Amino acid sequence: MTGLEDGLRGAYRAVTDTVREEDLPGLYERRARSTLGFTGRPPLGSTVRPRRRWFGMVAPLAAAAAVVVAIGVAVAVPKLVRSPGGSATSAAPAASAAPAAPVSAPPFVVVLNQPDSRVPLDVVSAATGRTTAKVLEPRKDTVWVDAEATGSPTTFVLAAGLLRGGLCNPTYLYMLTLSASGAAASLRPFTDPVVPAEIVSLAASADGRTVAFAADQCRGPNQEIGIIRSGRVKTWQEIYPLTVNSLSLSADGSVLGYVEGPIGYGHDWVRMLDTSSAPGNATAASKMVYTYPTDGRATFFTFGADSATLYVSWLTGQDTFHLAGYRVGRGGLQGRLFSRIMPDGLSLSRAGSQVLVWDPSVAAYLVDPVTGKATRVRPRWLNAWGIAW
Amino acid sequence: MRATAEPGLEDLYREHALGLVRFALLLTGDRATAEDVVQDAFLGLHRRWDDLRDRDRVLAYLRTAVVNGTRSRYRRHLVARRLGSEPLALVESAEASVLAGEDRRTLLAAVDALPRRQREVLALKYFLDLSEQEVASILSISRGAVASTASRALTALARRLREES
Repeated sequence: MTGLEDGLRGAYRAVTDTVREEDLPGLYERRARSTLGFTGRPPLGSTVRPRRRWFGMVAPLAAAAAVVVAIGVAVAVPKLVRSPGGSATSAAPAASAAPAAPVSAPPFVVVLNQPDSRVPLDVVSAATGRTTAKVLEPRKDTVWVDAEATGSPTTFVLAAGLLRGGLCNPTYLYMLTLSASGAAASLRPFTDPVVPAEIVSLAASADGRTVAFAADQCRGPNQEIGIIRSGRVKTWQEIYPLTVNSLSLSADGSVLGYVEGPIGYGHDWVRMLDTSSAPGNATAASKMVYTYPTDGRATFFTFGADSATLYVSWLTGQDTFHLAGYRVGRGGLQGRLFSRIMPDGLSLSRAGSQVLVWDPSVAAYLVDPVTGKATRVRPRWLNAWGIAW
Repeated sequence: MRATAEPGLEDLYREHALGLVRFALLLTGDRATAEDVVQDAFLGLHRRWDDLRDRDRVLAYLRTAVVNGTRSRYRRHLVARRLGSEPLALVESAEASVLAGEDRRTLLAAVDALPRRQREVLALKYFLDLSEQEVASILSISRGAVASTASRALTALARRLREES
């Protein structure tokens, strides 16, 4: 990707160097300008790809066609998986995998590799570090974008995004089932797998039958929170400038928790949404249960295995990461479980009864929420795009 | 407009306006809109000046405000487009057309076709050279989401460029 990244930097410079300091207006100096902005002149590359107007006209048709195609694929993909050489394939154990630290965590980890990797998704044994399965995207021009564990150690929810330009790329959801040895047994699409936008967060119930997603709406700055259950999609709107991050579903799928806050300002809180409530405004349909410290940032949360405990995390000062438990209903933090310098960002998720704190490319810890013991693991997926454990 | 800003605001404007306008230009494709968005970001900063506890985060605030401002204008643009069938124009300017070579035009056209969030992540990462953590903070998404969005965008660009060649 280096050549492309360099090319991108060069192209950005070529465009932005046309803005010179001496031409800028003063802070309080308004100049005549378009009232709407976006002047409507053709894009820079219009001589190469004059498709914008065409895209605008056919976008609704394309979206409808995508739904039809997806329904078709929903029928076709199981056949692909069952047939030899299909999209989901079992792999011979890798010869040189370094064993991960033995911990009391689920036996398999789904690892999303960089999209230019030869194999976009590996299933790895947590105990040995060996690859037990490799799973290709089942649709042309899609890439795995997210994965979520369920209550079963051999069942995962996968999301694939379409690589297509434009404002509205759908996401396709699948259920990956592994054999007891970690081989890919099946890859089944949801009956209504199409999320008509790119998801930014994904969550699954313990039985995997309820899936929640957050996505940017195709038009405008609002977001959408969705629940897919029994093939039906229900959505709530998250109104800008509020934004959603870090979804987590209770074990039975009846409650969706998520982090909400005004974009960019770091004053976040956790809200709970009854997934049986009527569609509408997400903020109106949910209630706030926890507010992060005002000096915290990059906040995350996940439900505990009992669904009554939340695990909340935040960063303070010089990238010090904090993890704490919080009892819903009884209120109050249960004390810090873990505090450590995590300089390069983090990810928080559950791995069975443990809480995984993952600072990609730097370190990963499994924290036992009962004892507070943190076990550092050194898996070879440390620099992965994403994982589900 | 009155020049009654708190001390330091105009200094900040002199220091950061150029970079922010250039950044906004990448998101809006229109110079005047980019200048508008940046001025609004500074005026928003003026209003919040007393509430900003951590002055080290002023630049992060401004970058976030620019992203938010371009999104708001983008929404208004989409309404106008629906009414008047305007084409989108996310990366363009007459000067840039002259300066950019054919390869760059092709690349920029491919960037132009990416979804909004992908364009934002690319501009923050490859124009402002921010770390994934900084991008995550500005966009209020996880670092993993930044990494996956950037990789998805680069993959889409690479694929599109292969198709064009």
